[in-house]
Amino acid sequence: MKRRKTRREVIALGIALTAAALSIWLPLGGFRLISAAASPTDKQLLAENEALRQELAQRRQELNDYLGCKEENERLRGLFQLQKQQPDYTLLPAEIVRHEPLEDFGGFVMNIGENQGVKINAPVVTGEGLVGVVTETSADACRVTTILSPKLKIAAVDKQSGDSGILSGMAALNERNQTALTALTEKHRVAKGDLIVTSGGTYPENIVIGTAGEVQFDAFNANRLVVITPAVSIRRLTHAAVMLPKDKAHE
Amino acid sequence: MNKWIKMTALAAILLLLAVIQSTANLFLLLLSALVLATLLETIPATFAGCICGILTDILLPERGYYALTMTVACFFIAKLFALYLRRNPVSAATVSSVAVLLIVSGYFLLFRLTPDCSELYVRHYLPGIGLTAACAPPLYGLFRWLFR
Repeated sequence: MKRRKTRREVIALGIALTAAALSIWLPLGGFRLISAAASPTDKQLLAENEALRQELAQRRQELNDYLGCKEENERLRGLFQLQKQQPDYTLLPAEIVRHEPLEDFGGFVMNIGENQGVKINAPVVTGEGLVGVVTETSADACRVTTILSPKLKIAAVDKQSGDSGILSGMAALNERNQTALTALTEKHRVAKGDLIVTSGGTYPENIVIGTAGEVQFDAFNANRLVVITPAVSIRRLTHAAVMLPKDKAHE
Repeated sequence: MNKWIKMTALAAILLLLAVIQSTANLFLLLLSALVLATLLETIPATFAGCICGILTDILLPERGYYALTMTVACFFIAKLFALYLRRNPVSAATVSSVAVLLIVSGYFLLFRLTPDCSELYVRHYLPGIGLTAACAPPLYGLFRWLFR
């Protein structure tokens, strides 16, 4: 009896093992052999992961290069447009190598100088508008004072109303990255949103400076002034260009 | 309880445990087969292990391991309880938990062993085995009630 029972158990075990072994080859829901070739092993997954990481790093580098080229393209396109508007001047693009740490008004140093033809009082611009003026030069560098500085006085005009004034920075406005149009007449018609450009003279005319804001009364000078928001984000600049008259560009 | 109702209830329970096993880090199907092995006779326990092993294999890329190991494990556990051990919740939970640990660790060693796999075993497999072992007493109570 006991032997018969044991024999039945062994037969049942054999049948169950056969069924289990057959389940490996049964085409139900994609059954496959142990360590099947169709499903990836861990080593294959690790290798694929490593390859994908490398590809991702490469793609990030390419994206970085693309964004740099795109930014350069936009910048140079703006300078090209400005060059077309100012045919009597040559634009020398340069990189800003250092913002002056002791300079409160956004002054900086660029990597072109006398060897490249840069002169003192040459305007410094970007495709968006006027940045400032060269105030010091050396062989291969120049220092720029921006339009936020009170040291700079530039003749400017309101394109809409025709009112002229003097662009000059003020310490009170500097913190908000703004400058001021001063020496306006009492009956001026400068309105908020008007475009302010250079009016010529020492500096080329028609270079965009910024947009007019509110009118304030300058108690110090007993004068009206208009707050100007520059068209250029001066403190975030990385590149700019020096404008030189064409006949003096290569002296 | 009618035999067919018991079988139907068992099939429903095993299917539910298969669904839970595929979504959570628990080896409930394996545990249920091993717990059944502590309650049933040798032949039914062997087939229960085979079926639960095949059901588990459906969810994995490496086919066949659990079907074979569960068949053999359930056969020997049923034999163990028939010949040497008493059927009670403590012995059933202990034996089935140890069996789950050995079977799942064997799967890990055969198919998941890589140079830096120790963290995978400690953080993923061991907690799953521990939680599964904690489900042994309630499963034992459930199957015992079903097959009383």
